[in-house]
Amino acid sequence: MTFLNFVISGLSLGSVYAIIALGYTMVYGIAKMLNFAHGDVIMVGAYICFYSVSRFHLPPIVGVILAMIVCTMLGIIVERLAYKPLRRAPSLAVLITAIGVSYFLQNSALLLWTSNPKMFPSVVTKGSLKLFSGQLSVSYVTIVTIVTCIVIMICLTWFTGRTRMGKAMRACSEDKGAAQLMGINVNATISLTFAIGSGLAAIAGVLLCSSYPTLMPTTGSMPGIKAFTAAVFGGIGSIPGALLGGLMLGVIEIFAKAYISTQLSDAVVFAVLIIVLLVKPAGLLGIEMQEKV
Amino acid sequence: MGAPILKVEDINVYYGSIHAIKGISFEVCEGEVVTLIGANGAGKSTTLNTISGLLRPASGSISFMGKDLLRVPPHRIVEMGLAQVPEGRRIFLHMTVKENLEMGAFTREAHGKAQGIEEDLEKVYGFFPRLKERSRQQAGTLSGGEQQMLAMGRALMSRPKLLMMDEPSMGLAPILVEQIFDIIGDMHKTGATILLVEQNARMALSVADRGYVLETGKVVTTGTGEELLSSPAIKKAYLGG
Repeated sequence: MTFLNFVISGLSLGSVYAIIALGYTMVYGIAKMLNFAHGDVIMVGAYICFYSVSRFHLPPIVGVILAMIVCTMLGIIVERLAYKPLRRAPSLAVLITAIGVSYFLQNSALLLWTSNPKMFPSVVTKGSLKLFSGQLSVSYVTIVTIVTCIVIMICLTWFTGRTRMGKAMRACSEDKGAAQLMGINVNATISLTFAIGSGLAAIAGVLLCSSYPTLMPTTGSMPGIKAFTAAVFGGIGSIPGALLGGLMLGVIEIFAKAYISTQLSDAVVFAVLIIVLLVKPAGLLGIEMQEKV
Repeated sequence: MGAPILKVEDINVYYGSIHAIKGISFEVCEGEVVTLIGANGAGKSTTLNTISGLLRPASGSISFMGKDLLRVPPHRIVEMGLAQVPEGRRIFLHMTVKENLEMGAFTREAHGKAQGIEEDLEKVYGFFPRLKERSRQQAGTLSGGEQQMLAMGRALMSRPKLLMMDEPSMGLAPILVEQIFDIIGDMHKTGATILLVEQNARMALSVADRGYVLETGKVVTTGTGEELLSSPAIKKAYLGG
């Protein structure tokens, strides 16, 4: 039963990684940049939800929606002010800017909300579900996290596969020049991608802090890096890859903590990543770019 | 021959400090097939990309159906009826053939003009039956010739008033080149207006009403397709003697 418990908490943590990784991978797919500030958007989302629920006593669902709205706007503004002017700049300049934005968000949070950790109230107030006459206990937060991740995946798959804007997004991520020749507004499409990624980051922030309730201005950075790893693991640019990478990373991390060593768990995670990349440099579901002549 | 639909006047385009287009002027009339020929680096593709709005000229003017194109944001140019088949095809390899064609009609769906898209899809399939057979396949699995057909079909899906084609024969086997030019000829017969950029000058001039010869960013000669085909200077420089 403990084994099953580990699997479930691994999947739950992995779901959070997957939701964050989706933002990384979609933005990378379309803007060909690593938005290292993505992790900090998670933190902002968690704070917005925290204040809505704890200070203003709004229902948790309203807190989540407010967090999504704020993060979506934050994502659009960051893209417009920090990344758009660098559209034609070398990728190194964009990368450094993204790191700068990450610190900017962390320091702003420090200023606004201080470094004192906040106890995040779980948005899922119900306790846990007991199965097999009490031998297996699964908290409702865990269930909600996994279900949310599945719902998001289904929505995104539908959006990119079936809708006009979703297809435009895929077209832009393949070839922006050609997309423009189709009459697609490339800038608006990039904005939309940042908006979706950041909105998802808000959900991830709330879910993460519902399971691991210590909220600080640096809360987003480690999950951000792990989710980035998950995105690379699954194949950066690939939406199913982000899901697979996130879930696997979560399960490996929990198993490493349980069976190897708590201190070494991150090292194990990254060791697995290195091995996967040695065998499959494009990631598990990544597409190796090839040109037809 | 109808009235001029596209008028390019004295445009200058730079890539950084490189002066790629040095005062090119030409026009395309309704129902005409006009070709720009010239060697590599003469500025043919640059000219097309400037008309499509991918590049902005430093000076000069471009008007399309009486409207100043330089005042139109690039993504709105397609809506006005100007479509480009880009050099190297540039189809969306990871999308299906049908999705590629739908992307061609992207601007039509936006403005409640979605009706007729299905019919146009059938029309394109009529021109290129191979695309119909492969409509659910990923575009990346198509052969080079099929990809060129897809790029042309995709551009047609916007119902262009002027179709610009950049090197449709590039990298294709001679038999396919002939096929592509037959289709261009057929389109001409149905009244399509086409601006064709080609290195294969003989093929291009044989389908074109008029041609302009470009050299290092300037128009050096112009004339009807037949005139240029029979001109000794052109023969020597571009048609292999």
